[in-house]
Amino acid sequence: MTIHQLSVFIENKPGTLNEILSILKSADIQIIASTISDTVEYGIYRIITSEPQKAFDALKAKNISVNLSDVFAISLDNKVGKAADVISLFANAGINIEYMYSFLIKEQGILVFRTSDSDKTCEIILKHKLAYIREADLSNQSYML
Amino acid sequence: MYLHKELETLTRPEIEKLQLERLKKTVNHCMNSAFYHKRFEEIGFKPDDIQTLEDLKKIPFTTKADLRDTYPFGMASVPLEQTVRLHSSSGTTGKPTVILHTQKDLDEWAEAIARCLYMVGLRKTDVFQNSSGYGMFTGGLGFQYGAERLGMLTIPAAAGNSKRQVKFITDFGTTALHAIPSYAGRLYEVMKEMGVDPRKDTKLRTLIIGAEPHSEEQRRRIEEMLGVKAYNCFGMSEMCGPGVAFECMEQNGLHIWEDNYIVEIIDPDTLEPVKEGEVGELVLTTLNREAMPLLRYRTRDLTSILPGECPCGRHHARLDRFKGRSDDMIILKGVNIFPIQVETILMHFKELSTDYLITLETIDSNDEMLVEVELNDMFTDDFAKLQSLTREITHQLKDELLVTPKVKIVQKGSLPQSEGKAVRVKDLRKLV
Repeated sequence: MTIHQLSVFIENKPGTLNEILSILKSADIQIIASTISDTVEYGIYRIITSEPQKAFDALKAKNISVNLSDVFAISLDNKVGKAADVISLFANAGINIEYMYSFLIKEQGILVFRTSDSDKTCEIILKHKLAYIREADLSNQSYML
Repeated sequence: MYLHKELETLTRPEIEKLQLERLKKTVNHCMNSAFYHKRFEEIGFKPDDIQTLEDLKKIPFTTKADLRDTYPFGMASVPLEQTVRLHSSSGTTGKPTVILHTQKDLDEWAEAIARCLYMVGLRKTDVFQNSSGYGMFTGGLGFQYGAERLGMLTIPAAAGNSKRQVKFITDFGTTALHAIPSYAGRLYEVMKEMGVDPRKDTKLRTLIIGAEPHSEEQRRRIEEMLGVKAYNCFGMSEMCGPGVAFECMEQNGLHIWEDNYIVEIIDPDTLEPVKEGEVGELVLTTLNREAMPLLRYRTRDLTSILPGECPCGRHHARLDRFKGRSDDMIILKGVNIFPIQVETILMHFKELSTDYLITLETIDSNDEMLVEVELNDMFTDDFAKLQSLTREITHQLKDELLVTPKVKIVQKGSLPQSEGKAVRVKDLRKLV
């Protein structure tokens, strides 16, 4: 029910992001979505790609601190209030959203997020028949940017 | 002018005569120490082999490693029931070192400090404030007892809480303050913030500074800022603590009390004596201690003996300003730190690579320690976990070092690599 996400440790200084992107480019990795969260000293660069393992190996080979983790991704109709509807389900169940980012593909909104309780999150996704995205879906050309 | 006139004004031949007498006594007494007894046996040395001061060289050096190996009580030359105090310095590889004192040791130590304080013009009418850390750090209790011995009103203000320090200085009419040099600068900043003019609003006129390397320029600046005379002092817990050597009012070198110690300056590589006046490692033999005499102890401090006679009339040798260390010990805020202590802690964290960098810098006239570490693997995708890792490292380092470093996680590969001789310590402190 989850997809893989790469999390890369990056220091807050010029050139670090470029280094990561160059490695992924050389490895011929297509980035579907990405986001940087930062603190004063460092940031975490989170990436969704169709080939997470290949991307992970490429970064690892270049001595980059990288992590492969599971996150939820839900597809929504691109209409007002859809995100609110979904998130309220988790809020009402007392589940904390640790971080979230969103992007649009072919008129569909995609929410990528991580919660404090994966099991409960699964239950809610199934119970409310939310359109979750699977790893295999990412290889499908339709999601490529 | 002299508290112990007879001892302070001994001529060179008189000093040597007294030293030989006390050395013989000390070496005999060392036979009661399990460590020295064994060591003497190993080299076939007998206390009677000491006939001249030169014979001291028949005895091997004692090192900090020896103190660790005999931890906790293997050095003692008296039964434990005769000891009344224990001080301990931080351990470099987990094991600290222990220094034991009998009541006589404490009395002699207090006398030595009283002698130093009297030498720089302090009298029983003075009010002495000690902003040194108390507890195991010998600058606390050492100066407390020494200042009381002189009959001064002594304020155990201890370290930190600068506003309270300033309030004590103004309210209690403090005339003399013992502080590490970097803290003296800090106090001046706080006085400014509080609107206190040290020259007009305080009675401060004498400052005792030590336990931290500082330049002549830094001393002059402290004197100028606070309107005081600042005197350099030297000591180490292995030699009791402060009171080993002290500047007289000439402020030109620290008289080392040769009735209490035999001084050697050696080349730390060849272990041979350096030529007269050259810089080398200070090696000390205690002459007046009961619980734990130390023979030819390698202090690791680099200095030289100043030539010529001091106009103050004391013939006790003068040590020049300390030039650094023959090992990699760092002195921060008066606390001794070995990089290996930092390394040992960091190596417990599997999340980190083996590379690290310690940077010492002066921020707002405070000396700070920055420890940069590399993430080995990105073990999480979560900020909270990275931050709790930083907190845990900081916490463990503080427990070991007794100072709180700032810990910063940096990108893998950005620190000097461990192959060959990596630079682990960068000292950017302003000695001004």
